[in-house]
Parts: sequence; structure tokens; C-alpha cells
Amino acid sequence: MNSNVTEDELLLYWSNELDADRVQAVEAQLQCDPKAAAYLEKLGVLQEAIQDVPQEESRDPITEDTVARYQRTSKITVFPKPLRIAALAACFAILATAGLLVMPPWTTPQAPATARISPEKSTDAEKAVEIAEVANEPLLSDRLFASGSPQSSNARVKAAWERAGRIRGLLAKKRTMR
Amino acid sequence: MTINLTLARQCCHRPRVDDMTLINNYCAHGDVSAAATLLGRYERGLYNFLWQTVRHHQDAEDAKQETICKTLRNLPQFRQQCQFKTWLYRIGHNEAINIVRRRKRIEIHESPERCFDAPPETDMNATPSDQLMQSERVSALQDAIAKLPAKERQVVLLRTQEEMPFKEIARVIDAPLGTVLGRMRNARQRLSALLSQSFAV
Repeated sequence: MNSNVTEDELLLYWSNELDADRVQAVEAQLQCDPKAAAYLEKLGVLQEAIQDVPQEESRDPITEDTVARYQRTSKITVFPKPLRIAALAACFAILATAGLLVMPPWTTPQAPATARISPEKSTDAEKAVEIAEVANEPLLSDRLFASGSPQSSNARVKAAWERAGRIRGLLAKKRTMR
Repeated sequence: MTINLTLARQCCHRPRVDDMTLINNYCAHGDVSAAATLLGRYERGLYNFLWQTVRHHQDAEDAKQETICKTLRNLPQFRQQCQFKTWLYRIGHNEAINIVRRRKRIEIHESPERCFDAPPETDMNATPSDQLMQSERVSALQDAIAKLPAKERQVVLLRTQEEMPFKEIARVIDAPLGTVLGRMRNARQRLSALLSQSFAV
């Protein structure tokens, strides 16, 4: 084979992938180079021989049922694009509505009375007393920061301290009763 | 009978719907028959390609199933950057490689299956001795192909059986064109050495 044309170029010529300008060069070479022509002929013989070899066939040929089955097993869903967008929008709307119903932005969350009970209070009686106390009184924030309150900060602290003392007294009484 | 014949004639003359139309029908309307037609066109070649890579029927079936699932899943993303066949074979190649890797990890001590359950097609007019010779030639060729390294075997079969251009083969196996041509050269030399008695290749 002459060095003007490489084996790769012959292969590309064989598969009709060579550029037009190189095709002419290869064809000119084939006219004067019997080795290159024999090489191409052998490629043709090889292709024919391999095409005679029977191909392997699948035992599960593809039908509409198979495609549907594959879709089911791999959870493939094909929707047109507008439908997909509409479905996404509907999901978002449902989630947003549910969010507004569960936690509306116009209400302030209020902790339940039981949440403010200290965990040290172990007995039922102590818990009951404290729940009653806490439930019957307004929130601490309301009392301390009420807009119309004439109390000075010292007086507010004093009131809170007295109240804590009262609760301690109540709890001590309960303990002695028990 | 007349109606059947007319229908059959219409079917024969019905123009082949191109791949992109079938893809659009499946993606836009969920037309399962379009997908079945599309995949059915390449099924035989694809399975043979997978089998030649994994050399095991069950593995080839698994690879085919996984290839079809991935193809159906990703079909809406197919943007004609290459032919559909190339894209499908590329997915199949990746699946086959995954199976071969997994098998190496598991280390199945099992000899690869001998190929081709179906008997080779023979010319009915040929004499018994001709048929025998033909069958021996096919058998010798099968053995020679089986002895090729898997990477070279893929290139040879995609080029000769599937008549795929080398540039498309390079896309399928994700290798440079020069590598593909090199594998073809090596495979031809090996086959030439193995088949020098049976064929003039």
C-alpha cells in the first residue's frame, strides 16, 4: 500500500465517511495500487461473511404491552408539557392553601398553658395546682408590658417576686398536706 | 379476503414514519404504540450488540430492559444531537458495561455462553455438502468473533452487521475516531489470521 493513503483513510472510504477531496485521492490510489484494492476487497468479503452470521434474538420482543409494562415498572409517566406545568401549578396551589389553613399569617401562635409547666413538677397534684394558676391568669407579657399600666419597673419586679413567693407557699402547703 | 389484501397492500405501501415523528407522538400524546414501533425497529440489532458485549442471555435481557426503561424515561430530553439509533446504542453500551463490571465484582465462575441458538440460514437449493461447508464456515466465523477482545468485537459488529459509520460508533462507545479505527484494524488482522483457511479476509 502506498503511503499517500493510510489504512484509516481506506477504512473511512469503505464506510463512505471520507471527505470529498480525499475520496478522489483514494480512488486515484486504488487505480494504481493493487494492495489497496485488495484490502478493500477483503473488507467487503469480511462484511458479507459477518452479515451471514445469524444474529441473537431477544426472548422478550418489544410490543405495546412490553412498553406499557416497562413504563409501569419504572414509574415513567409522559405528559405533554402544558399538562406538566398545570399539574405543578395545581400541586403548588394545594400546598399553599393547606399551609394557609393550618397556619394563617393573621393569627399569632399561642403556646398552650401546659407548655409553661416546669418539668421538675412530678406529682399530679403539683401539676394541677400550677395549671390552675397559670390558666387563670393573663400572660406575663400582657401583665408586664400592658400599654396603660402605671407601674414602674421596680413595682413590676416586686409584684412578680411576690407572686413567685405565693406560688412557692402554695406548693409547700401541698407538699406538707401530702 | 379482498379487504384483507387491500389492507395488506396499504400497509406495504405505507411510508415509514421517521423516528422523530414517533418520538414526538410518544412524548406529546403518550402514544405507546409509537414507542413500541420506534424501539421495535432497533430491537434486534440492539439485543445482538448487547449480547456480543456481555455474552450471556440473561445479562443481555437485563441490559435490554434497563436500556428501554432509560430510553423511555429520557426520550423527552432527546434533542437530535445525534441519530436516535446512536443514542439508543449508547445507552445500551453503558448498561452492558455496568453489567460486565458488576459481574466482575460478583465473579461468576461460568463459561460464557456459546452463541447463536438459531441454526444458520442455509440455501434450500444448495446440496448437503454445500450446506455443511456453509455451516462450518459460519461456525468458524462465530468462534473467531468470540475470540476477539470485547472492544474490538463491538466495533467490528457495529460496522459490519449494523452498517454504522465509524463516527457514529465512536459516539456509541464514547471513544475518539482514531481509537475506533485502530480497533477495526486490529480486529481485521486478528480475524484474518484466524480465518485464513476459511475466508480470504
